[in-house]
Amino acid sequence: MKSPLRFSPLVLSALRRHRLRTWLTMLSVLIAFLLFGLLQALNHAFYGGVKSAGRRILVSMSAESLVEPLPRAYATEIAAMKHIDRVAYEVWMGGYYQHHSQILYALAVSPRRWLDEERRFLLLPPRQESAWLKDRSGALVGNLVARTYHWKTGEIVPIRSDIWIHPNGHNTWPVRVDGIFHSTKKALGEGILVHYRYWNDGMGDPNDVSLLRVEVSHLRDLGQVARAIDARFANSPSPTRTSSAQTFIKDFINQTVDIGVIVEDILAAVFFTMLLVTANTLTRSVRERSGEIAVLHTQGYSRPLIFALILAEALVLVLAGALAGTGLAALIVQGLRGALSAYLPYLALTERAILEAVGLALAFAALSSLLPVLQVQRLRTVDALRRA
Amino acid sequence: MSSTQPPAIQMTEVSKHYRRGDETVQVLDHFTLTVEPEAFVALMAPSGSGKSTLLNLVGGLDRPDSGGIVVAGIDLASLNEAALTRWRARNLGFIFQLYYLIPVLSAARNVELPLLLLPLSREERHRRVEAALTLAGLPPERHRFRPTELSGGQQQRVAIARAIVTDPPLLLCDEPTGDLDRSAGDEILNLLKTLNERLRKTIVMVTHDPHAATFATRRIDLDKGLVGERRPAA
Repeated sequence: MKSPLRFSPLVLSALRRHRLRTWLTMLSVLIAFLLFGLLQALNHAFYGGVKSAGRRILVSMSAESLVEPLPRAYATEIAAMKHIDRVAYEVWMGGYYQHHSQILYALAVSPRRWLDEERRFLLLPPRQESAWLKDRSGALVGNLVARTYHWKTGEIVPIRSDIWIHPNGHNTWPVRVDGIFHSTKKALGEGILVHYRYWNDGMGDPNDVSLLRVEVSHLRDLGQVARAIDARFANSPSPTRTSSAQTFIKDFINQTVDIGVIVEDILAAVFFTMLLVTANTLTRSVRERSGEIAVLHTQGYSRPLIFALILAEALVLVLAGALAGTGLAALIVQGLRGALSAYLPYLALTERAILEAVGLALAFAALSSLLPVLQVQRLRTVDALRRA
Repeated sequence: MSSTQPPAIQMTEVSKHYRRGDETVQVLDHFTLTVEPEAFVALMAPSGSGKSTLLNLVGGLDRPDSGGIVVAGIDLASLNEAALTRWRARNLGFIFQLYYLIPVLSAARNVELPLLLLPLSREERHRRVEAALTLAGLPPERHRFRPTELSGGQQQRVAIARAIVTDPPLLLCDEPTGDLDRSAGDEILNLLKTLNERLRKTIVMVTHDPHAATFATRRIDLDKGLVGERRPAA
């Protein structure tokens, strides 16, 4: 009987008074939250992999750069060190299928060690797994890649690489699709795994690797082990730089540009502008209605109730724009995911981002109603009645 | 009038001043007034003589510098801001010269506003709104019209319906016919007279129009806080 919704016609009436102004303000909020949604999705596309990286995993690479290889023998040496459970290695093959535009995410790995590390994230038929383990020129293919290029098990597909050229000059690495897996790690679903030996033989036995993945026994030993590895190879021809897998991915992305900082800066500017626009709309609206607000006061509307009505007005204005903007961003991200899945497998508007959008909307509604509330606080009913 | 009933309004030695720039304007100076229950009082005064101030003080919208105001036995000085607001919701109806209706709400929605503060069902609110509008003389087919679609006289009827919808015993009217032509003004004054006679509402109406004052049962001339009184011949 005393539902606050009974005031909804009054709240909506304030927004209907200047429809164009309300629509334009809502549009500015919509654009702000559309940008928020898209930038959060982009942020996740770049940093989504950081969170999924194992917390107990260290990555050792050349201290010079990722392009410089490390000797594979380091794996055996590191495995013999204290507090270490497992060491795996990989070569970043890169590569493409048929055209340069069809980029592949191919890695040459030690199959058993790789499976040991990743099996818990995989859905792979045992027969396909054993077929791959036995087949030196075989490949395991993520379901997303297989679907994109319509590959089936048993097919031979040519991976081409501009990085790794055979000694005889050709750059094609034909592999047989032995298995197609699903993975809970999105990036893996975009991956192709080939035998390290296949790559090593094809390159004329250099016995190099791009990086080493070191699984540490306890999280607390992570820093100590990283320092020990780098110290061990500090005076060798190939010194290492070791960091946690999460830091490694973050640093790798930040080599080109710090997306997180750009996203934060853009959003701060957008939301500050949106706050000014919304606060201005509400302030003008309240000023124009000062006579009516005074009359509501004469009817028994208390100041706290009038504050609540202004806050409700701000909430409707901001939430409607925010929901529309976030919804539109979700639709756009959904549309882009198919086209960009090979490049940005983590592109997604996460539930967390949506909740953040709702939280931001609530906060901005409260902030933008502050000025008008102060206006009402200062409003003297008798003066407002006299002026109107 | 029952002898045990307290006066509808008892103002005793009320003073009120305003500051206008550097100037101090004394609008009421030891002003005393008693209004009996169920009276229809016309307060006549030229502009700037404090008649709106007087309504604001009686309505609890402003506080006097000194003196006491008791309305239907309630000493307004004893009520804080929140209590005054609650008291207004149940005991007062304000009627203004410029109606102050919300332009994007229908007549019925405007009248419903004071009822939203009371614990009433939607059906009960609807019933009371229709009754108040009918009593105020707005044709039923116009109950859903917006104020801009109504004439000045009809808008004032909506404002009167809004003032009486909670059934308050006291109506305070500030130049209710000031924005209307003579014919529409007379209709509104007759309506107020009816509310006074049939529903026994106590009405205090400030006006500078001597013709409007003839509809009241008592006329008080107010000039610079001084009172002169004239009662219409029976």
